[in-house]
Amino acid sequence: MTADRLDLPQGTLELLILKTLALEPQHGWGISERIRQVSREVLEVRQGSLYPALHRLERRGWIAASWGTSEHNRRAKYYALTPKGRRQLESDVEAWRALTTAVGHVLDAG
Amino acid sequence: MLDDLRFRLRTLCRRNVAEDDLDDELRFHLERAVEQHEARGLSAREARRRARLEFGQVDAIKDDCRQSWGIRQLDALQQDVVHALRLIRKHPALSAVAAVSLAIGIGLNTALFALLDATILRRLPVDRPEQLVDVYTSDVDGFSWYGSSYPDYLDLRRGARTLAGLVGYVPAVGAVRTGDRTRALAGEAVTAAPTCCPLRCCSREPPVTPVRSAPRCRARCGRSTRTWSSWRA
Repeated sequence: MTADRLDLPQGTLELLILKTLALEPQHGWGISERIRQVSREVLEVRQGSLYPALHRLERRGWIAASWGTSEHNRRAKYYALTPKGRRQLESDVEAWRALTTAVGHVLDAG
Repeated sequence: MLDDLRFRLRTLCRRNVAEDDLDDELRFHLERAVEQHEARGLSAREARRRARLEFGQVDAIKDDCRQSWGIRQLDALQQDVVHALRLIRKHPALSAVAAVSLAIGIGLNTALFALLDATILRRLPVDRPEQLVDVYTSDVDGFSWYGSSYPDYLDLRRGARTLAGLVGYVPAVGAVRTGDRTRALAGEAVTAAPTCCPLRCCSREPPVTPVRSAPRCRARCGRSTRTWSSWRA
């Protein structure tokens, strides 16, 4: 972790993966790059966490994997959000917003 | 749950494919990282070194992925089964002795449990089994479970205040004829249960139900008065 770059808090990686895949199917590299770019290079996804998380989500049926051709004409494993994953994402986003709001209240209290 | 099971079985059945896919997936990521470093001006060698450094231990990542597949236990089970089958084939006599020992052990345990269940654990098949009590006679040393005489039974029944009713019973062996066959059966002879007694509910049972175990017999007395006179004598 660099001074201006943060590791992901525990439990948020799966939420970010689901959110990234809600836009379009993506491969592991694409997911990590997108999270880095959208977070303005603040959040860094380590490969050691990313791939086990992807496989875990696939096992739960929240995402589905299939092999396709990448933008560089290479064989790549693409992940797509399933209907079950979309429902999970909605529920997780709601829980996350409730949590951050509550934590904000505590931190802002005089 | 179903997705999980399907995923595990598919991964387990196509273990080699899953491993190859994992290799390809991680290789793709690494190659993209190398390309990115090269695009930023690093030499091919330096780009590869940097990418590998950032990527971390490939074997450790693979191991974590395998753990995510959730087939560790199934994998271990499969290995154990294969190992066991190999041993059985190598030492058939020893395996047979082990299997028979296990069968005897399990059989004994089952029989003991069945006995315990029938005599102690299982609730009696009557309306209010918790209200059933056994009335017996003790000697001067306090040793319990002696039977009572018929006159005592009559006195107890007449003077009972806390009991809704009293039923007498005695072990009996009798001959039961079904069709043209007569069989000797062990059971218990029981006096008629009063209408207020919980035992009354078992009047659905045949009037006489010879059974082997005493508690069941007590519960199934119903209107049985078959050997009333013999018990009274």
